[in-house]
Amino acid sequence: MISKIKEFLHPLSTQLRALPVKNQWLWQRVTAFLLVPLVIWLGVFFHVALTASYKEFSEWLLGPWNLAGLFVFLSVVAAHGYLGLKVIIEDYLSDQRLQEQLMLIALWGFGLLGVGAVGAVIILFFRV
Amino acid sequence: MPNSHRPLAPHVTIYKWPLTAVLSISHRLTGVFLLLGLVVFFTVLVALASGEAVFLSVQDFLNQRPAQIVLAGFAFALSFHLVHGLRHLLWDLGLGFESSKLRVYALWELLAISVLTGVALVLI
Repeated sequence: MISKIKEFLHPLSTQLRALPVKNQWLWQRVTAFLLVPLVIWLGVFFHVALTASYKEFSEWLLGPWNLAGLFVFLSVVAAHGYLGLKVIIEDYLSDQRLQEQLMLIALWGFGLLGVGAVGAVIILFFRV
Repeated sequence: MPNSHRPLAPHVTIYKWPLTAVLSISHRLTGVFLLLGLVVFFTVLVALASGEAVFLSVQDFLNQRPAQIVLAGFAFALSFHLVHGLRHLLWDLGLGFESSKLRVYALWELLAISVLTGVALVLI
């Protein structure tokens, strides 16, 4: 399983690292723009998570719009976060090898977060 | 002369930072801090998938005072990152570069961040 994830992530990380700088700049802006309305959804998510009962929150999250909101939010925030971290790493670290290692860790972190979130939703779907 | 013995030019530790520069570096810091907020988001999702008992204990924990303070910090960081991010988008369009007004814009930005944080705290 881990080796399959590694196999999947390796070419992806190579491609992401090789993205032309102009494209990275553009994607950073596009994802930032998309995140503006998604922040409202995030606020509602936390409001419901902190105040609603388990049943109410489960039903709210599994509704088609909120499920779509969750996946769009996760995808966009992962892309925005990865590109933001990449810029910070490139700006403040001169060691190229360390840069690449940290970027790979970041990519793994976002990948696992995404896989974990999808897994959690699938489990919830069968539980409710 | 070896690189390590070269005299350094005056740099960030010598000059007084303008407000816009402080906001700019804070934008990066809040971005990194918000990544920790993603972990809280993920924890809520996992707790929900783990069943009612786990979810209720996480919900109870998040409603305690120390966790509320951390959540308030996330609300502030998110408001800051959002408002300054919008300013970056305006800069990308070539707007808001008048040097005489940079400080005024920065103060407006701080006001918007305060209002947005307040709204977020009331709603959450």
